[in-house]
Amino acid sequence: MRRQCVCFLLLLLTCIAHNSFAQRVQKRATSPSGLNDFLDKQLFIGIRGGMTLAKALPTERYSVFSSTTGNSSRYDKNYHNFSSPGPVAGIDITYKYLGLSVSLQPNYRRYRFIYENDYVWRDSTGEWSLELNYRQGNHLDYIEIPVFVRYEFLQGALKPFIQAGLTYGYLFSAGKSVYISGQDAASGGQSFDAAPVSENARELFIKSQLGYAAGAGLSWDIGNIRLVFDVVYRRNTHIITNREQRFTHNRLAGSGDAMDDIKLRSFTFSIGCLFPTRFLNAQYYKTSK
Amino acid sequence: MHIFKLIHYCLILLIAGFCSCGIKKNNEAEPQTTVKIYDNESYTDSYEPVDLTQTTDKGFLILAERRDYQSDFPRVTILKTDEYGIFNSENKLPDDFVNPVGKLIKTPAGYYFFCMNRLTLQSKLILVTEEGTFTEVTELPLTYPLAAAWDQGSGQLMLLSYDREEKEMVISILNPAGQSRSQQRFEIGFGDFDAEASIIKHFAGTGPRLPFFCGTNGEGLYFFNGYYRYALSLVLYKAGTGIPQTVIYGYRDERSINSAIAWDNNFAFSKSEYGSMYFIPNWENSAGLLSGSDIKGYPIPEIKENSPVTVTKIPVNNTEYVVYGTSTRNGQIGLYFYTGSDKRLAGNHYLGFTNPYEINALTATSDGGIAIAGQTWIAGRFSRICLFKLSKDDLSDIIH
Repeated sequence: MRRQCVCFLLLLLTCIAHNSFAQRVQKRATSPSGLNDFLDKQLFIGIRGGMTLAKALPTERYSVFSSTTGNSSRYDKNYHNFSSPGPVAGIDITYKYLGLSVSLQPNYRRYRFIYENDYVWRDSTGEWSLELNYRQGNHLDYIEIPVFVRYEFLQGALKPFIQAGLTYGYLFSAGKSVYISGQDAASGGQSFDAAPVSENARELFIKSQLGYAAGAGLSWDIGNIRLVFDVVYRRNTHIITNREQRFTHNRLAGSGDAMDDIKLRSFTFSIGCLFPTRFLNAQYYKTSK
Repeated sequence: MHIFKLIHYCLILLIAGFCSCGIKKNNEAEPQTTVKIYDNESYTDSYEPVDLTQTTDKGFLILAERRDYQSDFPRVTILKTDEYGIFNSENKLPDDFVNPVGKLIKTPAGYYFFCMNRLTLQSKLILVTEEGTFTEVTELPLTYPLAAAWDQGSGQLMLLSYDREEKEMVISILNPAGQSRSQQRFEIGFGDFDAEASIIKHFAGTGPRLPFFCGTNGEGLYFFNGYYRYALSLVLYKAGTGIPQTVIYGYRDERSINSAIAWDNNFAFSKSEYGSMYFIPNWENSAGLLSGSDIKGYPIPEIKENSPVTVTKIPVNNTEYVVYGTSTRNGQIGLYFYTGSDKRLAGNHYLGFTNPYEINALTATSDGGIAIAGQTWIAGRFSRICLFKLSKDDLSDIIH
């Protein structure tokens, strides 16, 4: 906990230093002769929001159940990838110099993914059986601080760009919902659904997430604001499952659930609205080339 | 400007350093706490552990009963797991080997337990290897094996059995080859209560499972919990005398001591009185005839009626604690840690959720934690063996 606090403090100081650094390179153009030099640089600040689609990539599989018949693959989870959208919202601080930009985009984001387990028990004749399906919905809420380097291809109002960068995420909340359904052929063949169980699952994941990202998008200058549309693919570089805590959540482990070692992959679709912070005087009112 | 730049880059490096340390630690971590349920996909099989012990490779041997819809007596199976509880092997004993009784006794020569010959009703001594394979050592002319223990002081095995011909409880001291060293017999008594019928129902599974056990304090004082003069009683006696030094009488099979361990002249035990459970974490042995109802204990109403209790002593942070494990009314395994000296409840902990869980055995592990073997009912219906392992850190968190 202390380490995470120190991390946050350092990040805060970094942002301040970053902004201070950006402010110090501002120059106020005072004459038309300096117009081009002035318009080569700009600091944009704005907001952005969108959605993310995530994939949980298991690198090693685990289960509370252990097969005594050698059929351990029966307990492997079946993941549903890029199927559950999660919200993203944050701010965007972009410093632009010519076609290159550095963009800091602190944001809140929720990654969601689902996995299922199917279990079957039969007697030797196959006459009696019970089939159960456990559907586990997972969500992870991060405060993420990505830094991107962006390159814009064209000049004008519409500018396509590509970008790549590094991300750091701090997990502040996680949860699971377990839905159990089944078919009971031994008691008369009725299907049933049990009431879902929701649990706090923060202890099952580590707090930090590091990764890298790449994407493409389009910026559109309308009047004095800039709209940005982009798609970014993210990969985290390490296992986010808390390996020491895999079996410590009594309610989840007791119901037969144990997290695999997973890495996250995701696509983020977002729209941003950015405002320039450097202006010429009213006579040469313009913010960007 | 250069100072700002320098601060900026230093901070980024520091953050990266902090994050990578935590991530590296996680990548190398192995869980010290585990939960496992051993399943075989069968609709008709059911399993119930009898005892577990840790092997020298840090894995576990679990002695268990196995039943299907056609079983009369429970059959015997031995599970071997690795140190993380991952299943290694299951060895099923022949169908005529039934009714395994605890404990699974760890000796320098291997692991021993007793079970019963389904045809002759006599006791069989079985030797188990580290890998979970087994050999029958011998069949003994002792009918109805009820409980067993290891006498650390003399290096001998103890067996509590029931002699139906003589209507006696029999304590036999045996060497690991199964040869009898000594024997003590105690009459079960006759009266308006049919103690023998109660024992037979215990064996056949048609009545309540009774808390038979035996043991020693390692200093020549032996004890057993069994029928003695009409009632399920705890009997303490010195080797060779054959006369009880202390008897804690119960009443029929409705009020009795149901778990005990001994050290020096002290005992920690639990008692059941008409369905209610009491813990007595430290009782000093005073010779004589006593009634169990006169011994004060802590009432624990959350424990399920007639639930089996396991008690042991475990060191946590260099302090010995008396640990009770039992099953709660809401289907969880309850662990209760008492200080042996001032009988204070130092902490409790509950295991299991969604499906019902019950405890059968508890043992200390070589890394300072504990392992618990129990029974759970998957989907509320398939009886399976479960294994919990709590680490030393978990125990430190539980105790306050």
